[in-house]
Amino acid sequence: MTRSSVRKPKQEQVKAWLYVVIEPLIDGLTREEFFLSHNDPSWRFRAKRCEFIRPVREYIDAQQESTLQQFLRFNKNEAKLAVSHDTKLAVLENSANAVYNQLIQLPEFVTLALNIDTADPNWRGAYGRENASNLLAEYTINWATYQDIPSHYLSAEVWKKHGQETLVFRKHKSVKRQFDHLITVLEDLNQITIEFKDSLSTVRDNLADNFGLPPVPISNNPIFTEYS
Amino acid sequence: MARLIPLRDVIDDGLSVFFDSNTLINWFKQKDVRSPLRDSIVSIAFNKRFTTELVAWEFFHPLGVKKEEIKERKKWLEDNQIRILQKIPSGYIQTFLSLLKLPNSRGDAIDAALAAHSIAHNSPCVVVTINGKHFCWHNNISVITDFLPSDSCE
Repeated sequence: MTRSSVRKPKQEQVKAWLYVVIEPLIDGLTREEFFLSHNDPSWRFRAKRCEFIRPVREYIDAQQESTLQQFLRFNKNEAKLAVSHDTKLAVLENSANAVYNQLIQLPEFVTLALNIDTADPNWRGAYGRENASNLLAEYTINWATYQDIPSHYLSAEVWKKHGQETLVFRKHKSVKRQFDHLITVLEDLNQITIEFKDSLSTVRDNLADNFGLPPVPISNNPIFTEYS
Repeated sequence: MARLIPLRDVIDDGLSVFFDSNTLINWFKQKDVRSPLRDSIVSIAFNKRFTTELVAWEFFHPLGVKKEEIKERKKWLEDNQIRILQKIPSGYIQTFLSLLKLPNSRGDAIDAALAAHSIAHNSPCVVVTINGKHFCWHNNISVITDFLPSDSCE
């Protein structure tokens, strides 16, 4: 008998899926939804990665990798969605990188960043002046749809003053095509994330009902209880 | 002296990363300030970021921190996906006791416990600290170089 022919899980397996796979995955995808709903990839120029949108396996305790794999072997639709999610995330990171590389080569964009920096050098935190255009490009990628940046961000004031003229560069002829592609990828990933999260919620509820288990652990982390 | 490992290698090798108190407190206090060091955390996979229960205690409950800030600290730790280790590795107590006997051991007890965790941990791991002197005194402790001031492991 091959492993893939085993199709009926036992209660202990289901318990592990519910508490170490499905719950953290739903948490992670919920956080992703927030950023994706704002067309914000949370992309960081230094790491060249998205900060809050991550491959599926990163949401699961590394020691529970085999539990994740088992869950995906038993749940083909979720396995397919997990692959779609991670594939689209890789496309998103490449797309953001491509936009960024184009933006920081535009002399007008670099000039704008340096002008902003001259007026208010504090906006870039501990980064040097040489990173002004890198940071501004990152904000141009991430902050297109927010009404306001929370005031405790060092860059909030600068963005209030210069956000609109910065965002004009999203329509610049040499990057517009890449930005359009980035938006399409963000929308695609948003759809996948929503579908994946909904699908996981359904699987969770079905498993919990069928196996007589609570859908989430009764006490997740007692150290945090008082402050939740 | 500790093994010094660049962050790039830590990421490539998928090592677990243990954060010490000073790093967490420092980053939390500068949470709204962009910095190359702070941004380095983005490269570390979510499921590789850990700290100990003692470091978490020191982070959440220092004297003079109001309840509102404790909530903020909790949210910050969660947002950054830094998880509190839920298990004491076997051999932890023996390791701690052996560190206790070393004349060149330095740092406070919470750092020592983190050091013992990192040595006894059942898979390769590495410490993030901005105080090299608190961790650099033992050959079996691995420390990420990127966060260390240049002279702190001499």
